[in-house]
Amino acid sequence: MTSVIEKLPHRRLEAWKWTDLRGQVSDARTGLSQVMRPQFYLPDGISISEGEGASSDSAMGNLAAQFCSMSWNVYVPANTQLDAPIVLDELTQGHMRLAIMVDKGASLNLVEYHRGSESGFANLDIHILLAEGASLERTIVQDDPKDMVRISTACIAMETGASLSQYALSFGGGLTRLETRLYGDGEGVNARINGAYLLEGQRHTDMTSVVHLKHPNSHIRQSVKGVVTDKARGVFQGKFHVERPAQFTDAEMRHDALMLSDRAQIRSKPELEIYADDVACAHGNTIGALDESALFYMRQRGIPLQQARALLMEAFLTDVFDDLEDEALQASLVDKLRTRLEALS
Amino acid sequence: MSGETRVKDGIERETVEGVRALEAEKYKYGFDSDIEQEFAPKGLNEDIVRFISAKKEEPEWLLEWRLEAYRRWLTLEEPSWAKVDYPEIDFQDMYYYASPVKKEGPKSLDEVDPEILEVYNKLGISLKEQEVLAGVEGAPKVAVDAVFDSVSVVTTFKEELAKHGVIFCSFSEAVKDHPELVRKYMGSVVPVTDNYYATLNNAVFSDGSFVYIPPGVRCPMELSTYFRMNAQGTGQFERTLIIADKGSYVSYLEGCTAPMRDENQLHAAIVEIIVHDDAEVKYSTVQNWWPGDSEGKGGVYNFVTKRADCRGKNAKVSWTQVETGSAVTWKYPSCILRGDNSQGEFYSIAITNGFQQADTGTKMVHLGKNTRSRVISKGISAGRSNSTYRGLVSAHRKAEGARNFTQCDSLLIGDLCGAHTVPYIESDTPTAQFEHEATTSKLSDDQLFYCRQRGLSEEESVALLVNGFCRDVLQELPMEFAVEAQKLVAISLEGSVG
Amino acid sequence: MLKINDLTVAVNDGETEILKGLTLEIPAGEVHAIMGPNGAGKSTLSYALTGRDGYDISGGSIDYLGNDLTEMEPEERAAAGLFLSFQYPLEIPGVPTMTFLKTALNAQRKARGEDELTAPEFLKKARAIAADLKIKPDMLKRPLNVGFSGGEKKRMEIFQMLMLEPKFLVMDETDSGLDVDALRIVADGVNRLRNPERGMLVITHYQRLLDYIVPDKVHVLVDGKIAATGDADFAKTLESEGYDKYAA
Repeated sequence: MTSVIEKLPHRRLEAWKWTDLRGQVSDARTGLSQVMRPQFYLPDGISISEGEGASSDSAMGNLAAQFCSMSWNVYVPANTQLDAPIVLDELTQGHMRLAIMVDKGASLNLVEYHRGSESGFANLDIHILLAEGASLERTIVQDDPKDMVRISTACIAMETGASLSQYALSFGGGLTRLETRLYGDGEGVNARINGAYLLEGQRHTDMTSVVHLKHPNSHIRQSVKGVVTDKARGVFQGKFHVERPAQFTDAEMRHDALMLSDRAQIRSKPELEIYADDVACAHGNTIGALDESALFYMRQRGIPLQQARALLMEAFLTDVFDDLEDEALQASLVDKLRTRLEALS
Repeated sequence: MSGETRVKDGIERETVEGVRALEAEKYKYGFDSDIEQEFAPKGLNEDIVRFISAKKEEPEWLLEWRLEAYRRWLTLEEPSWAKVDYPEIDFQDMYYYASPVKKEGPKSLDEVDPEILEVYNKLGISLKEQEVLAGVEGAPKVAVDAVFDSVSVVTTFKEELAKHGVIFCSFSEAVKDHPELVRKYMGSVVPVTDNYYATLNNAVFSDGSFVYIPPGVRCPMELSTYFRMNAQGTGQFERTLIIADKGSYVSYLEGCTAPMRDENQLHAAIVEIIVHDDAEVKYSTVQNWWPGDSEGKGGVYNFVTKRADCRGKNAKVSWTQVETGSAVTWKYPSCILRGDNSQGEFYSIAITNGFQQADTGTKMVHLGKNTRSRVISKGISAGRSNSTYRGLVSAHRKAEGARNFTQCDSLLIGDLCGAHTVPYIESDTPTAQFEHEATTSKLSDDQLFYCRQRGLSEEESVALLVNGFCRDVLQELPMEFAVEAQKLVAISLEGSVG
Repeated sequence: MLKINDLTVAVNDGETEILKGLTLEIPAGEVHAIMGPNGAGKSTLSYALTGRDGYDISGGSIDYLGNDLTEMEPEERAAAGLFLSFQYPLEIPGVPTMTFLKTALNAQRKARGEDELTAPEFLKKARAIAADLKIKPDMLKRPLNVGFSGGEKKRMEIFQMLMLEPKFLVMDETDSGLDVDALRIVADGVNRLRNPERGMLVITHYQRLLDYIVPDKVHVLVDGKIAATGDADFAKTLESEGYDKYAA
């Protein structure tokens, strides 16, 4: 058991400086050396198999491989247009490896429900390959008990003309890290990487992403928004790495956070590493409280303070889901947020 | 830089002419000066530390200070987190003390070795001229402390400053004449153990400038230090200590150059600034150490720790830097905003060309209530260089109402360079308002074409547009530096197009 | 209806006194105008009446329909019928105008113990009023005031006013940013609300607005106090003569 803990990343590593995984995990956690038993809901014509899967070079990926000799493999054949999403549920605890290939011109909706158990530990190592012209809409709903520790790492390789829309909603846990590593392996990839987190109590969410572009003409938009209250801590780490050949990259990253309590914390590191000269890359980061003038304006029109706050926060957070194509899913995300916001007061 | 270049003319014309006039000289400060030098033996050990201390006739406490720092330094590791890459430094293959041979320190300019004066003349800092100018009506007065390798050679305008109670002298003199001030403030902003290079500096620092502005005094002229690294194989480890007492004001300029040499020279300085209630310090730097040749050989390693402590309420400090030199730069002028309502500013232009690497930025640490900070950083990368902005903005839980605005813009010229932005933003209070924006782009082709259509060469056009890109920062510089800085921008970018 | 007695208001954590003993009474059915130079305290008065944080009432009283206004939260004052048309209406990104207004209207009705309006009732009312004010329906779907011009924002304030049917109106520089046509539309909207139960306070820098909304009384506010009072014609005198002679 101790050996598992020793393999966990810790705050002395730059990429984990604000998310001290090793410091949070003790032997008592359930799932630490288990294999996860996920539930897959597959549309007609899609099957799942077990196989070797993709290899990982990260500490968490290696750890998953230590417990899961086999990976779940999903294949979406070329030019397939599915009328229903692949849904992943019961991602409660333990380690899991998953590999999805969306072949040329195919498109897929993937919905993941990350709901864990008390004092649980979950480690998901996900590899997705989007072949030429393939597209993926990936939605992540993470809603764990307050002491759950969850690390989910998705490596998404995108070939020429592939597109990705990712929407993550996180309510945190003892420690939650949703990491996305995007590799532009072909020209003209298009990605939107959005997320929202709403944290109370002593919850912690870390949204980390790396976008690594190696070819020209890609278009990246990222917007992550967060609200933290009580003693919660929100972490955003984003990096655009644009290599020399990746000319004409158009990439924008935003992180905006609201703090509602004087014990809450926000940590943010929006990073650019640019080696191509003909690019337009930008990032923006704001941290602050709710706009007092907007609150007063709303109260002047008769809206009670709590309701005005909830309304402003809802508007602030949900705009990251504006472009989600599955409208029913979008409405359910907004609903979940609203319910939590109303309970905040 | 002769008299005519002092003409404060229209900015654009200056720039264009600067490019034209200096066409051939890539690094005009790269001359060598043949001045008789006295060296300590190469290498670093406790004996060298004792040697330096003895040479400077230092009191016992300072020797102890140095030895303690040296022992601590032995236990530290060189930091590797910055985005810079250079061969391992052999700290034993370096001189830690070099001084122009002169038994007694100069009492006045007349006693300074004419060779040294000539060096400063070539640098455009005519120390004599400064004194002469004093009598000329309307001419700007700038008091200069000139540091030649390890030793401060002369400080001008001392008497006039003394009338106002301002102390401006070399660090060594301050140790002798104002030990109480030195002991009270030295190391109180940058602790001895702050970081690898700072600790090294504490062990072997040579000289530097000392400034004390008494309460309520507005320093009657700009104070300035020019650093010149001349001797071969030397490290320069100066330290500067500036104390602005309650309600005082001072504007301080720092300039640096070094001759062209094949091997790398090390510069590891410390600047500490203490700002008391209602006082203000403006610190401007034009850093133009030898950046290395076009193959990336030679150049200065510039590993500097600069920090200001706004200790009192309403204290204000402003860092303005134009960084065009050095092979490798590692430098983060910072502000500790401790006093309520204190303010910190950081305005930076970092230009890298050739094989230069710069990792620079600032830290704004908000501790007091209603503290405000502003960061404007312009990075320009050309050639095969890499330029990184690395910054921290943090608000402590008690820093109610803290405000920060940060704008980092990077410009890439050519496709063999890199521009990077690594901001750390940490907030522990809901009443803090932090705003950070960053962009990376290239010069607009349309603007370039427009300039060329009006008859500017491509290089002139680039210089002009880059000056425009840097405007927000250039206008923060004192007049004396602004023109020089604009020329530097142009010169630094030579050979970056075509 | 509204009785302000010897009111002192300070801002800046109570350090800067803006209103210095202001006394003013506005009976139901009357429209009063307040004119004065910049910095006289006109906007401070509107914020003090509506209860904005940071406007500390250090002395005096405000009685509104028999209630002590200073003891009420901003939303309670709104539910009691007090409406402020802002000099600079706020942009609220992400909140559609209709959602905002429906939330506000129903919150007020709920506070007064009235039934909430159903969605169709609300829509019908909104459409009719929007048509009167020449507001395009798609503007109501957009987030409140976001990307609106100055004139559109002011018109949106009047739209909200007509929807909420307040008992007492405070208009803070409502005419700024309006051209003549827009001014007429706005004034028509305001005049429609004039009736014997309703009081109005029109704060303005220029006399122009008062050609359209004719006041019963005109007060001059200088240095935090009412320096003089007159009838509607007094506004014209003020505009030509300036405020200098009222300065302390």
